[in-house]
Amino acid sequence: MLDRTIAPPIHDFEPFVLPQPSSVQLPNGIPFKLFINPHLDLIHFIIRVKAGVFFEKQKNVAAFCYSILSECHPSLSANEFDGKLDYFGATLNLSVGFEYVTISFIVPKTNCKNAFSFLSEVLISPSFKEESVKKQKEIKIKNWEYSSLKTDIRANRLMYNAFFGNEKPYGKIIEISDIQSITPELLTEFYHDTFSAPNIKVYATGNIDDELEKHIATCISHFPAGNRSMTTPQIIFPKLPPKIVDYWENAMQTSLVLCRPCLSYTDQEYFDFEILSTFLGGYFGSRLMQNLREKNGYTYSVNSASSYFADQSVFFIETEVNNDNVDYAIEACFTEMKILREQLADEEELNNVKQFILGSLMRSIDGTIQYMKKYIGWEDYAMTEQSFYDGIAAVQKADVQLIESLANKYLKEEDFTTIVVGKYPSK
Amino acid sequence: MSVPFQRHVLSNGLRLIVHEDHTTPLASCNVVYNVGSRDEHPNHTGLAHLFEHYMFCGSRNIGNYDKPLQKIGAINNAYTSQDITHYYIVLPANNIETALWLESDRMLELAFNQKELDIQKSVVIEEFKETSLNRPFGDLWCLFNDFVYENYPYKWLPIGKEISHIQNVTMDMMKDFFYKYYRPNNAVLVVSGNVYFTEVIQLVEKWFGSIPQGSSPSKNFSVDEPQETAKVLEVKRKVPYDMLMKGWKMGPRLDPDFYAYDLLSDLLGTGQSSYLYEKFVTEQHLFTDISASVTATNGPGIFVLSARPADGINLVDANRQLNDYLYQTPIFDDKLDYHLQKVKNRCESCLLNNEIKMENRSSILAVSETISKIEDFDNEIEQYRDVTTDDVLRISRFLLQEKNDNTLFYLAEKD
Repeated sequence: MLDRTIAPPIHDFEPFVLPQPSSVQLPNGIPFKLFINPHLDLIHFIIRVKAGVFFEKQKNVAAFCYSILSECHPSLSANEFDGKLDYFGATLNLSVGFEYVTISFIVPKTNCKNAFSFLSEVLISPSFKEESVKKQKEIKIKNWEYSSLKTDIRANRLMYNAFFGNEKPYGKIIEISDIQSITPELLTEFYHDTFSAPNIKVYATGNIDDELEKHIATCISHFPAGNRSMTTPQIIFPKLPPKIVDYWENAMQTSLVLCRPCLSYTDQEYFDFEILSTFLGGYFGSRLMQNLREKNGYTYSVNSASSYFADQSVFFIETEVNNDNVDYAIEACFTEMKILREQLADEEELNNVKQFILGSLMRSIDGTIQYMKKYIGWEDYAMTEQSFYDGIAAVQKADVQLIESLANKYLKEEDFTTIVVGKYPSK
Repeated sequence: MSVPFQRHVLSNGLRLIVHEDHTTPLASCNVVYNVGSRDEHPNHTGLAHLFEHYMFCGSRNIGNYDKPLQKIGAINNAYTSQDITHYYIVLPANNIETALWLESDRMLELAFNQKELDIQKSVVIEEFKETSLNRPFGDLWCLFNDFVYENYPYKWLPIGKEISHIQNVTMDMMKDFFYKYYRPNNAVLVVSGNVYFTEVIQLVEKWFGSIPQGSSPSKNFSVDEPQETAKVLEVKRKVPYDMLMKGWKMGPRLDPDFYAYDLLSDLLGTGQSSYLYEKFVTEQHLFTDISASVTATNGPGIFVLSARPADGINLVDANRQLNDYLYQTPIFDDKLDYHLQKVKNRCESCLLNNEIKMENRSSILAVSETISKIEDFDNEIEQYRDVTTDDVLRISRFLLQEKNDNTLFYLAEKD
């Protein structure tokens, strides 16, 4: 008779083996790394450019500049460019972060040579046309109008504004005037300042043979050499007020963010802190998820995470709750921090968190595309795959005393700022 | 689809699909129940989705569903569509038995705890607010489906028509729902990844083999009569700009013409080089965005067109010009051949991209087998390649007739 109350035996993780990419330095200095996968006939490229919002002199220039590249082919219209990419079966995605711009390009191997040459044409000599800029302004203003009516986006913007301040463009909360003031000249200037070899890294994965590799390398070699490397600004976070409230009379729910400045990706406590963050709000079994959702049904979701920068990070908890439950939710966040500070977690919970993190690490390197993205993350912070092994070792070594001691260091109520956007107070 | 698989059917009717991939250390376990929001009573909408939440609240022999998965480093989640409810776990392959143990016990019977039900009702109500009420255009699809379908139970979305429907769910309703739809003969189980077919069969027979089958739930839904005249709906909301939504009812996912409809939507409204974008965004500047798509549903679908007007453009006027183009003039020019090849190429890339990750392949297999059988989706790339310009012209003439038009003007309320 099958006893369904007894769980099947649990097997340990099998050892991880990390592949090494092949790497070449092209004549213009651009590093080109290849993760060969003979089974993958869709070639994936990621071009990283150190041209994020940290480097703009005027609000919104970076995001505008790189997000409209598909409209900037030197001789073709946006429609013609888009149509030709489609004909190649290629997909181009452009995203702009604080530090890096990511140009992601996916194309079938059969069209890869022609498509990459075609993409290179726009990357080497983009033409920011008045007409395209005008069209994009209208779209971006509408998108701005949409997002400005969302409490969660507002709370997120207020958080970065609080940390970065209004002095620097990247700290300011974007306004319509920031979109309206963009000109083709500003975009051209920013692009020329940033899109040059010292700021570019290229990665590719797929079934790339020698001939294709040579062709891609030749294309990349024509990217501007340049000699100016962008330097990430030193940011000193100011002392923040304990609470920032943005009252919205018509909000059906209230968005909450609790945040604090925190350690960097390269800090020796980084992995240990990630374990603590997972305990608090990093997975479905987390303390906050259990309290706010599974015990009380006050939210659909709550999570904690960190936004990492070169030498520090912002740690935050975010959720959306019924307007009447805001005070309870804030209190619950601080209560769960206090419990982590004052009571040792039990071994079973620690083990669950450890296994969850090890499973996440395993999934994060499954397949060459995933692995390439992980690898890029390490390179962004001048790290190597050794950090992966260090992470595993740190997770395996962590004990409940460590969690308590980290909670006392990083989860003190007085270090947090609470941002509330919605109908709060509700009455 | 070109994903290799093997099938085994248990005596209780559970269909097992195994897809081996020994290049990954992971495995995926997908369970799809052939029940979605279209199976709900019109006065009890949102029940299938609430039930999905409730499936995580403990089963007959296992009090906590999530903890055993956390112990093995797995992730899991689920979603409810209008047609199906899909549960999935991605985990290290050497612990696949834990996933099968958990899934089998909740297929056997749930714990049916009232307190847990009350909590999940609150969670789902917060989800309803987050997705449908507390954001601009949150009710757009809800209105649109209700407007396009007259009777067919795609009139409402899985989240439900209104919060009171979720509040009014009782434990008896939950139990009835479970015993009617959550039976092995109404489910598909897919195990993929670094696993072996024969070993998986043994484990699945062990854990699922003794679960009793149920009766086959009927799938006789209220139907819509063929549309005779165009319909228009106008609503005003506190949103920053107007939106135009147009829909034409089309066949289900298994309609032999589905591939042609899908490519027609790409030709008309996917990307900047599509026909409608070129004409109405680039040339005439009536809209800032326009896009077309199809809803790939098991029952009758909708060919959807959505557009955001440019500044200063009256939406009704813009719609009139759009209608003139769609109904009064030939839509396609002599470059149709080139454009059709272009959208086929992109479509082929998308299909290949979707199949790269093992867990995606597993999901595709699970959903395909639930809709009908995986073999019906064989060689999808070939099916797209076989669509001709004549097919496109034929179905566009058939579909895009003024009498089939459903237009929703979603207007920004002026202060």
